[in-house]
Amino acid sequence: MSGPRPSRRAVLIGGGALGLLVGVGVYAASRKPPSLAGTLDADGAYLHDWLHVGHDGSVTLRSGQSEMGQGAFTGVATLIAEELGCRLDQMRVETGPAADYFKNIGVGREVLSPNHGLAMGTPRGFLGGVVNFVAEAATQQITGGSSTIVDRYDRARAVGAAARQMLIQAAAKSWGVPVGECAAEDGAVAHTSTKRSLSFGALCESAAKETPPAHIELKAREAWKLIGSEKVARVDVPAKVNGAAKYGIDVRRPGMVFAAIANCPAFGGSLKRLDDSKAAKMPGIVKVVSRPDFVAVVADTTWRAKRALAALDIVWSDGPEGTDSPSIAKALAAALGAAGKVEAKGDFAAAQAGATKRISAEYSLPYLAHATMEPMNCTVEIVGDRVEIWAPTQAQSVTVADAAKAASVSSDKVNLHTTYLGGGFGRRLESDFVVQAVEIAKEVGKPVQLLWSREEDIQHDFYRPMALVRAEGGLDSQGRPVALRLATASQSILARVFPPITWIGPDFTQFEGTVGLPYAIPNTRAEVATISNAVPVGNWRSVGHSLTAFAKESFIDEMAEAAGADPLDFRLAMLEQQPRLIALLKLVAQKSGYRDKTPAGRGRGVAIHTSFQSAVAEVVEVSVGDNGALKVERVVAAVDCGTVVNPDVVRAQIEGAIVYGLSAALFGKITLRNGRVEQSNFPDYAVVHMAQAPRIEVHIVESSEPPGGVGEPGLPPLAPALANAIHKVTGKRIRSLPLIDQGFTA
Amino acid sequence: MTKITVNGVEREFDVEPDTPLLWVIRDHLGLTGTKFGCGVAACGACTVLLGDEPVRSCSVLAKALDGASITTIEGLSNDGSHPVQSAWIAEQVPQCGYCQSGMILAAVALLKAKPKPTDADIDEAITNICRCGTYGRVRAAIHRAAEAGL
Repeated sequence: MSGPRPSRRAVLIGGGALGLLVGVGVYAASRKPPSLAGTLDADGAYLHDWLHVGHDGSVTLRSGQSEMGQGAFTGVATLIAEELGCRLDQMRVETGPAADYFKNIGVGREVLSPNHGLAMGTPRGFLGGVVNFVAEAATQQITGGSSTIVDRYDRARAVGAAARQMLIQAAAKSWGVPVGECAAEDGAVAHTSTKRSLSFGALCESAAKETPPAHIELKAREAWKLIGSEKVARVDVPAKVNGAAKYGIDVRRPGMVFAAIANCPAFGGSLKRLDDSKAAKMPGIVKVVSRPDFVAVVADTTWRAKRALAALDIVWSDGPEGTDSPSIAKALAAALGAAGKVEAKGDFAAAQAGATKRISAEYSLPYLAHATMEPMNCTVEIVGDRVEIWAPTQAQSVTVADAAKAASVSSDKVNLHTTYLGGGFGRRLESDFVVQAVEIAKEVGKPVQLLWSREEDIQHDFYRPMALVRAEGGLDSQGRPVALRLATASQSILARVFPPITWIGPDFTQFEGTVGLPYAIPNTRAEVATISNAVPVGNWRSVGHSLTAFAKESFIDEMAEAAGADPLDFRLAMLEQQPRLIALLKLVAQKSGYRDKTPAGRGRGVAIHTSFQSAVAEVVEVSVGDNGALKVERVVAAVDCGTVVNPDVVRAQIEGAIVYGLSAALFGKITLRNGRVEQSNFPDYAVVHMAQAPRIEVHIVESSEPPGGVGEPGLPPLAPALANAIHKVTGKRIRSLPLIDQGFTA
Repeated sequence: MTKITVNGVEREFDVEPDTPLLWVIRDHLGLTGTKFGCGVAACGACTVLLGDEPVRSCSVLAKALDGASITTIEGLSNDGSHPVQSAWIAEQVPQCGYCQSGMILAAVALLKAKPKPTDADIDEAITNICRCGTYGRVRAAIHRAAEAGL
């Protein structure tokens, strides 16, 4: 439901430091299971909380990061294996529990990014303290923000290197030789001069008793065998081609029952009347559970729960008036007039007034649903005061905190098992479906699996916000850009999910992508306006960048046109101080044949955008028929994500982000009427299918910079590059998505 | 009691006649490789083979099934050695993997009907949805499996 939840509402006491501490404590849900490092079990020994070595020589990564297709298991296992000295086929990956030792420090640091426009650099004193508190609170166990490799790059290698040293110490002791004469490779420690060797399996118990080294030395980049290799296959693929991979929906417990659910269809509405007399008599029904915002039917099978749910007679109240798409569009337009500054460089107003040529445009974008292939689900088993939870979740810290609250137990009584995720894209950062499953389990006294229908999934998402972006730009007499203003109006995501951010500034997810622009435009201004309403909004693949990149990169094309310049040349001229971006644009232009002639009815558009510490440039080639029939023929992407851990995973993520972004650009929209979502399933919330999927080529720039994210950065450039390509062919500017509402078909 | 053959093994179940095959497979026969995605035959995550035909099991009712022969993802091979599975591994197709059971069975059905499918054949036959956007790799894997032969 909308609005801040009490569990995460800031508890500020007088605004002082004590209040901040209390407030932060609510968010940084702590869970400290006993450390396993140095302990033995029946199968082997733990050399670290993240790492188990078996007597059989198997090396198991206990992953704190969720695997949702983005390659987290493979990436982190690769980093560990590289330093440990084993092959990837000797490694297994399993998910660990929710634990502080798995927290994602990279996400906490992301809050401090200068590109989040906090406009305070590295503040000191009280304000600096507040910022650091907020960063600390944001440091949760979480898989989001394209952060797994960013966070684990150094940390996982250090875990592998420390474990290697412990294994070497143990081997050297048993042989009575100096440590410096031993080396670890292929899962064994060798003493070369005497040709002796001991497997990791034989050494694991004694290695666990060794003290991890105080100083950890990492391999030189030149010595890497696995990191950056084209030969490392994903560890999760074999289980995903034979049906063995277990998702949330596949959890089975003895004596379990199944729940189907109807959420209140109107945001902000509630249950008025429920008649379950017909459903209660249907076969296999265990219980009907109702709350103000949902009704669930529990039965002995999934189908019996579903058909009984359909037999319920439920009356819901409406939510607040004005929760419909036209009213929200009006609210956005009205709010834009009062947008507040988040970043300013030079003097936009003066430069714009003095410009030879002035242009402006408004870009509007709809709400979007995530539509993960696996609908929301969660399995809960409550035994005494112990709460066992199986969930496909991206957010272990939040899930444990919210489940503990729903079950009225302390968080150490909640044991969370993270399954494979059938897609995440930000939807599974939410805990709504977990809390519901706990509520239901409390009433049935048996293990229960809650599974949403697709209709519930589409109609009860936390949507990519609807937004309106106003762009204004000025050119001098030579056609050079002198001024640019980007003002964004939308709802705040973080006001609900992470309100501490509002202590230090506006919600950066609303304006990210409009600040810290790489273009050499002397006078720029970014502004933001916030509206609020009953529609729940959340993190959708690339978050604010999915909105702002469309406006920014479309408008740069409009400025190029006003300047009489080619859009690629116009960008290159503004990026002279940005060698990495120049290289990307040149690469994508060359690989796509950007400057080559196209047949009539076909054209290319370009866009470039930096997000999650990686930059992606894309050229989209599109055909447009006389009747508006669009065919996206080809997308060429160039990626600079710093150091690459697995190039094929990088390519797969960029390919996936392009298709996800294309679905949104062509078809994606969630609209509201009387507080209810009008779409319900794939027939009316259309997505790209095989026949509409373009050829995609991904080119990766070699780099030794620290790694950036790859799950999201491929998405933002797609829509503007496509819109720019359509303009090239048709002369029509696309300032509103989706394209099926702009006279096109696909 | 309804009798069907699933992955070569005779199975029996007793359900309300309007129960979709998907839930028979998952809840009664205990095979969880077949996934629920939309419930309206739109996404293909629940695709299984009925004989050699790909069907969306969420929309095939139990009452129509007596004597039928069904193949689910578990029936291709345990070790990923079926040519379509091998091609899937070689092309590193899956991301989240949730749609892939259905995607693979749709590909198996296509290759049985058309051993050397063209891109147009693939566009027409593979109407399953993948939100991770693995379509390009699915296409490449189908061509690869066609080369190897079923």
